[in-house]
Amino acid sequence: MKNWIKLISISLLMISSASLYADDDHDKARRLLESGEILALEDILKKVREIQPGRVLEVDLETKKGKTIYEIELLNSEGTVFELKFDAKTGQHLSTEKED
Amino acid sequence: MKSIQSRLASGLLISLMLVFLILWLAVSSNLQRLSENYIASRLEHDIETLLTATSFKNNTLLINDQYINSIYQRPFSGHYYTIQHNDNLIRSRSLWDKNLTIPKSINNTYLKSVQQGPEKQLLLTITSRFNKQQQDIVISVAEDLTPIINDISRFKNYFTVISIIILVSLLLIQLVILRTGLRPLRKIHAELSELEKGTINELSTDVPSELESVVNEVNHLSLALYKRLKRSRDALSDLSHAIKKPLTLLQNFSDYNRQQLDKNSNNFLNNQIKSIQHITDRILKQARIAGSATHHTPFDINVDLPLLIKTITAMYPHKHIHVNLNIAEKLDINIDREDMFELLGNLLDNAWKWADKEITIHFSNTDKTDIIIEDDGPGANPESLNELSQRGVRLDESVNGYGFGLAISADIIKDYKGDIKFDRSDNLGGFKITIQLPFTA
Repeated sequence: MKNWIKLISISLLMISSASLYADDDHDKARRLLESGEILALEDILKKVREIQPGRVLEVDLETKKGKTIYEIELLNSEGTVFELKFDAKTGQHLSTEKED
Repeated sequence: MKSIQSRLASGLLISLMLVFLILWLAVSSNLQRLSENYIASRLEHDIETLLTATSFKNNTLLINDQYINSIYQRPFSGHYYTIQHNDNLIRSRSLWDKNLTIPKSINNTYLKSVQQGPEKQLLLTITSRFNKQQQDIVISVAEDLTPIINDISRFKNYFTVISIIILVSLLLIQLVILRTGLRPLRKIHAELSELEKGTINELSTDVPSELESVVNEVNHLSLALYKRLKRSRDALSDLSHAIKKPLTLLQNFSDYNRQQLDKNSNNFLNNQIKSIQHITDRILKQARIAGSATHHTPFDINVDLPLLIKTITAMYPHKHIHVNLNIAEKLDINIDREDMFELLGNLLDNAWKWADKEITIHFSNTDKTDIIIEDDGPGANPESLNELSQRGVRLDESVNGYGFGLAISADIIKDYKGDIKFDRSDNLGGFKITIQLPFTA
């Protein structure tokens, strides 16, 4: 409950000139991890590297059709950027796409 | 004894390895410390930037995004921060679902620590306490050390490889220096065998100062030995000369008083005087032969052998002897010239004494120097041949001093570790002497 109050007050403040880190996607990820709803990013990245080694450029956590999905942007050694999607809850690999 | 080369090499190896080890320890520990300090000072700047970016509105912490480097946005980028204000904790986006471990008892305004981060990262963390707008905040900034640690270990590998290369090349250089440094010793060794053969009179003094005293000492010794040899030969010669006069007087005394003296006693006296005269003549002859040879010159078969033959022919003017010379092309005679003169002088003198009209002299090289002297004289019976080489044993009492020269020759050959054999000559029918001298005494 306390978090919610904080969230509202912070959301209000976000409208002001200075932006405010309170409940960005990474805080959401931590909250979902703590409540056991998703896997840790480290575990997801382990799977990512098994499929496609490379450097992680960006990570997004999205909810589509009630499913929480990790979208990971990756740069391999040949300079190609990939986007991999994983089910954040089960860690199941959903898709690998080369970005244009 | 261990060689100088291996002793110096092991000494150099140990000292160089010690130097490289100390260097390695110093460089690696300082590199780690220096890079950590460098990262720490960068982190301190980031802390100050974050402090500038924070502001408070109604006791709530606000952060101005414009100040924040994008590296803090990318998840698990290796650069992280947390800002704590009361119960509220703000984490950099890069931390994603992770958190930094902040020491609870942060009384100090500054704390440096190393902790485990996401994906096996090793984080250098700096935590500082600030008071801004009457609000207490604790800012922690962390950076992954693994790239630096990897760089350092790569550098250490390079350093080790380069050290080994330097070590090996230094050892090789030392080897070359030693080889060149020890060359004078090899030269002296070669010269010593030349000195022994008699091709040179003394060792060359053009040597490194460290060896000069040894070379001078050897030269001094060689000269002293030569002088001693000469002195004893001179003394022998002087003695023979000195004996000659009283002997002649004795001979004259015996001749003049032939009538008065008892016939047997006079004969006995005469024989003994003749015997002594023979011995002194021989010694004088030897001294004359040896005296003509100069100190430390090699026996030159083409010059010295004809000279010797000429001298001996002159001693037997009434004899007309044909000499067959059979001398190999390349001859290596490792014997002092004076010794050779004495040896050959005795043997040739003996051959001339007994020969009828032919003598064969044979020189050849197999694995030793072979010298064969044959004559067409009466030779010796087999029993006598065995006893021949012993000093004082005479084959024929009627020619006094016969065995003496052979014994001297046998002694010289023994000095050179050679062999002498007495036989009957198959070709000429007389006496045959076979000598074998090793190349190196």
